This record gives sequence, structure tokens and C-alpha cells, in this order.
Amino acid sequence: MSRKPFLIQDEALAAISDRITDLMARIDALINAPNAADETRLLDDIDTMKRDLNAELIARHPPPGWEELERRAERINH
Amino acid sequence: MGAKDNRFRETYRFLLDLTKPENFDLAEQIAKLKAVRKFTPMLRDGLRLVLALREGEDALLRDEMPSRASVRMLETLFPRLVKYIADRHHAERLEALQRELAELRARVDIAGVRLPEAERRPALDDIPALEIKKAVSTGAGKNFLSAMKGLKA
Repeated sequence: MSRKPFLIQDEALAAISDRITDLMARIDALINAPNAADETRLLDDIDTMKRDLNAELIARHPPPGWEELERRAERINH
Repeated sequence: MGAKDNRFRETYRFLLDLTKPENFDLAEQIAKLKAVRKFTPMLRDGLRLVLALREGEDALLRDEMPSRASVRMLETLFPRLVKYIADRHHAERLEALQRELAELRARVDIAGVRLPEAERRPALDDIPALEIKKAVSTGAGKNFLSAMKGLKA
């Protein structure tokens, strides 16, 4: 007999959580062995992760007027 | 008269009150430095160091960069110490970043977990209607009084 899951995990957010875990491990490595190039890449990856997280959160709960803004932006791009 | 005799030299004197413990310690150090003829160079370095530190501190207070000369002097005089302080602050900044990420991850984990849609909001039809019934006596009062009588005896 299959049981219904008690909780459902959002896959996209779980993937971002995994990325944050990876970023934290990279910080540990940098504390132990400083490396300027690795640090620059780390900071870039943190920025990318934050942008992706924002996009996911906006997709779930778009702020008022967001869809209209997106439509207008799309008209500009094409 | 040789060129050596034309050099302009000045002698500076200062007093140490040896009744103060910190001055007494200094006097001991001066004696040791004099014994190895390093007192005067140490005095010059010490003065330059304090002046450079003060200049750097004042510049930072005015939101300006310390002069390259003062920073270079610190790095030349105490390279290991300067590197140690820089590394320590660098590690502290990274640790702060790590704490921010840990907090963000906790929030993402909370936001990413939810109840299954069907269990989150049951349909109104699925909720059983409440039925109110009149209570029927089962003789509990009589039993209670009988038990009390038993206790008296």
C-alpha cells in the first residue's frame, strides 16, 4: 500500500539549498587556503545563486504588477 | 675641516620617571639595546612607526586611504604581523559570509517544504458534519453516591 508523503519538497528550492551547501564548503576551503582567483569565482557564484533564488521566489509569489512589467520587458526584447 | 665635521647633528634628551613601572621596563630594554648598540636605530624606527600609524589612522578617520609610504613601512618592518592581521580579517569576512549563507539556506529549506496539496486544504464536502445528540444518563451519579456511602462505613 502506497502512503501519501507527509511533506513535499520543492525540487527547485532543494537544488538551490544544495548549491548553498556547496558554496559554504568552498568558503571553508578558502579560509584554510586563501586563493584570490577562487574567491572571485566564489563571489560570482554567490551572486548567480542569489539571482536564481530571486527568480524562483518571484515565480512563486510575483509582486503586484510583476507580470505587466515582464510583458513590457518582453516587448522591448523582441 | 672635513665633510664629516659639517654634518648637522642634534642631540635629543628625554627623561624617564623610573618610579613608574612601565618606564622602569623601558629603561631595562634601553640598557639591553645600548649594550648591543641598537638603541638609536630602534628609537628612530619606533618614532617612524608611531608617526606612520598615526598618519594611517587619521587618514582612515577622514575616509581616505593611508599613504603608500606609511603602509609600505609597516609591511617592511613587520611583514608577518601585517599578513597575519590581513589574513585574520579576511577569514572573519568569509566566516560572516558563511553565516549569512547558512541562514539563507535555512530559510530556503523552510520555504521549499510544504504539505501535499490535497492535505493542505480539505474540500468542504469531505468534512464530516457535526451531529449534536442529547446526553443520556448512564447512572454515573448513583454509582458515585454508592461509592461515597461505602467510604463512610
